[in-house]
Amino acid sequence: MQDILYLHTRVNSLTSDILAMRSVTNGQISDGPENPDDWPYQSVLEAIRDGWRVIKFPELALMMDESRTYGLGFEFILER
Amino acid sequence: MKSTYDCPPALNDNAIIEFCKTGFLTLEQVVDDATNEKTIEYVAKNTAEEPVEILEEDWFVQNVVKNPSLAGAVRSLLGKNFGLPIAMANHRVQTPQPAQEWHTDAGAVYGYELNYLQVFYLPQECTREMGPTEILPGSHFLFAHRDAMKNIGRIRGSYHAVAPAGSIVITHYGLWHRRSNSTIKTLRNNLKWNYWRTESPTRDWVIDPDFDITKADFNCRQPTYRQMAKDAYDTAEMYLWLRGEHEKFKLIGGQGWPLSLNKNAIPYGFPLDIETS
Repeated sequence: MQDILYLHTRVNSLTSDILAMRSVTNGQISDGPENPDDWPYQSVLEAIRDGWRVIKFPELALMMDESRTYGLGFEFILER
Repeated sequence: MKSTYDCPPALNDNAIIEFCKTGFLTLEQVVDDATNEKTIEYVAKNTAEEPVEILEEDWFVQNVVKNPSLAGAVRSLLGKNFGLPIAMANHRVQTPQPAQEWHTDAGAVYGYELNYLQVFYLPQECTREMGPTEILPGSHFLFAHRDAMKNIGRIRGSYHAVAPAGSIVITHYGLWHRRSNSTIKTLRNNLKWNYWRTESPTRDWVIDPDFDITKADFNCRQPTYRQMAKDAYDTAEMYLWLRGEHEKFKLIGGQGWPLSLNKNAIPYGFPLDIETS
């Protein structure tokens, strides 16, 4: 079964700190621990080192619009 | 029936700026115990999702809708003669429940204008275990299709509206929010309604003689979920709109106003046709 990990980062970097997370493991959706310090990964790079593969990088086109902020940070989607 | 209300304002410039930053304000324990209990009894008998009939009850209108602390804050943000609610919702939830998905309510408009407010009233204490409303501070400036935020789970910096009985949370309608997960068995009531602006914005709230706009801090607490400095720009623009001076909002960029850095003079870029105090 495919596991999915959504990570929203503060900036467009694999080493950026994480703003938000959700995982789907064995078909079960989890928002992770309430305290961000307890999240399983503190960066996308940490997740990659643990075997996750990035299947979608953040879309940057909307970030070029300085007049408005779109969505929440930069969304990486990973699987394993 | 539509009607308006007026009362003395309760917020000063710093409180207005704080609301511009976060998009919400929590008033703890402002409704008296007897009214809280009467409200709980009322919604136990009228379990509708939209118990609009409660707006016909004078005790509810006087002690909750026109509660002096609440009305004073609303008067500050929406101006005099603000419109009273004509609709009522009650999120009556049997817990425990998983968290809802993040969402904005239908019709949310993002940005600096503030033409209506949404409030949440907790007639009973709401602990973290009871699944309080979870709010994303500053998200009234984060444009997102309400159906395109459903894969976002736990968010760093979110605020859980844990509060004692009789508390009211005043919010910008565009704030992202959800019912958080609950872990105990209980019945939670959360009454929700809107107030409306009827007059053009102007700076007619409480004036503190010591306030100096050139020294006001427009930076938001981290994380701001925005590009560096955008949070201060957003806050200052909304604040000037509320003062009725939006046309004076101009940015020169760099370290000019409204960035809050240590300065020994009026910041470059500060609009000179604005009263500083």
